[in-house]
Amino acid sequence: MRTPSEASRGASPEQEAGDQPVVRMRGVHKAFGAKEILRGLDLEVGPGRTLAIMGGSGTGKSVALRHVIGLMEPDAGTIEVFGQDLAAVGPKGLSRLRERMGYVFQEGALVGWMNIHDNLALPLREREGLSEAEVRPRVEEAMERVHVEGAGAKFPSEISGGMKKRVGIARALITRPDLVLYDEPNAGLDPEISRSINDLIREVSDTLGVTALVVEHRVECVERVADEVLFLHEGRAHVHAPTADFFASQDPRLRAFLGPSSTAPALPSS
Amino acid sequence: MPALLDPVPSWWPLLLGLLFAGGVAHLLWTSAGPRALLEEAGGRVALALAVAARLPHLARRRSWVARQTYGAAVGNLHVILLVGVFIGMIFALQTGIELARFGQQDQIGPLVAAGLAREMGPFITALVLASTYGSALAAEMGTMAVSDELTALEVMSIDRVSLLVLPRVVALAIVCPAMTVICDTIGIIGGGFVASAQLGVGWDLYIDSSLSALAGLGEGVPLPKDVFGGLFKAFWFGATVGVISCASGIAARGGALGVGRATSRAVRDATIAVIVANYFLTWLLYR
Repeated sequence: MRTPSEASRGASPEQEAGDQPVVRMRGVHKAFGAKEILRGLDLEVGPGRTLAIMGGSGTGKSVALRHVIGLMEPDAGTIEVFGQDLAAVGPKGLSRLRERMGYVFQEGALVGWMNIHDNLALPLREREGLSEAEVRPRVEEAMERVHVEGAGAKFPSEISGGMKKRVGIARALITRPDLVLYDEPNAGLDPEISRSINDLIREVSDTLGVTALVVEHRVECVERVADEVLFLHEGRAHVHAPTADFFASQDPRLRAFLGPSSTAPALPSS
Repeated sequence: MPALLDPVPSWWPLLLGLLFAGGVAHLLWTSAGPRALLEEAGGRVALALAVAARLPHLARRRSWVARQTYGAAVGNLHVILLVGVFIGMIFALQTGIELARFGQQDQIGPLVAAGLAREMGPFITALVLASTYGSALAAEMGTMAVSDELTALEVMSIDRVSLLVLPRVVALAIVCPAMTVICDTIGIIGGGFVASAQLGVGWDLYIDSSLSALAGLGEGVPLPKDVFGGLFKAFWFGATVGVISCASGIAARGGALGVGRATSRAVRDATIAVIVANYFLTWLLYR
């Protein structure tokens, strides 16, 4: 089994070519009161790669993701995104970095009093200051990409959980980000809709070439979407390996987490 | 029998001090401590300043301001009408019964009109808006906070104050004076019913004396002083209710329970703030 740094060095062809990692966390610690969640987390994601973070409930997967987008500050350690230290960029710098990122929330986090069209148009109108003539085709393109055409006039309360996830993904992608963070994209979805969401994430990675960090605990999702997987245990990267190697690992802690049915699965090429 | 200008009893300041200390102690006991209380108050002041700094965005937000204004006004018009008419009737009855003992019923109109225009109109309107629209704002913002909608706006680098708070605060600052005019008008009419039907004051006399009581123009303003004073107060009451309601909602944590707490806190704190602001604005206007 390789260490996290070895895994990320070996996993990415772009990195082998000398590209800087898009996300780099070094020795990140985070505690809430007396409870220490992250205890020296190290991870790297290379350009165009999709890294899935797995781990049990409460191990800090979402906390790690929130650190990457600057919603939380570490107690110790450094986080670099696009080569910039988040602790040093300041509020305006963080805002500029976030403009290059998309974030898909567990429940979609769509604005409830706006219809789907306005939800998707929001970052284009507010942040990029585009005219309605420019916004409309971008929104239609985004809706087409996530297969929710015709839902523009509906409100979030009128669509299913799966559609909310799709619209959430569309909103994260509409500004054409370089890095997309997915927080449990399959939470609360049935297997059929989960598969369609996983296919969508994979499709987005393949067609747009974005770098992605996916927090997920469902094996089938990780198998489908990830190029490499990190197993978070006791606040640290316990295993970090390319997807095939990860599921073939005999690490006892990882095997206990994955259970007997997940032994070295036959992986589809991605 | 006590003389008219008896000095204040010596125990009176002590009683007031104890009541004040008791109030502060209760506030600290029910809150998460003095530091949390200061942070909460500081957060609201910061939000008010942030709204003020974004006033130049108003032209861009005019459609949202119009929607919020419409919602706050139309949704609460019936409440203002009902409360306003009964406030005027109560005011007329209370003052009329006393004035009738001295044969001064003809003074009911001026008292009701001045009382409503100066104090009761803006005050009651602000309380109605705090308990209806303000609580709805806090619940709306609270729901957005606990369902990650506000976080989503933050990670998209969207200015939440400009998008969400500014239109709501401005709408309340517009609606509160407008509703105050309605409350004053309907209250004076309600007082007139009581004055003519129960206290034997002619309708024409009541209306003429009410209008003449409000006729004197204020210095440097194109409105009667009492009317201007009431509208000036209502403007600040509306803005205060808007800021406190939004701030309480934004600070909500912990799911449905947190939203409920935020809503309750918004109404409580907006009510207190309106009462305290009322004293200082009255002092400013009528000193």
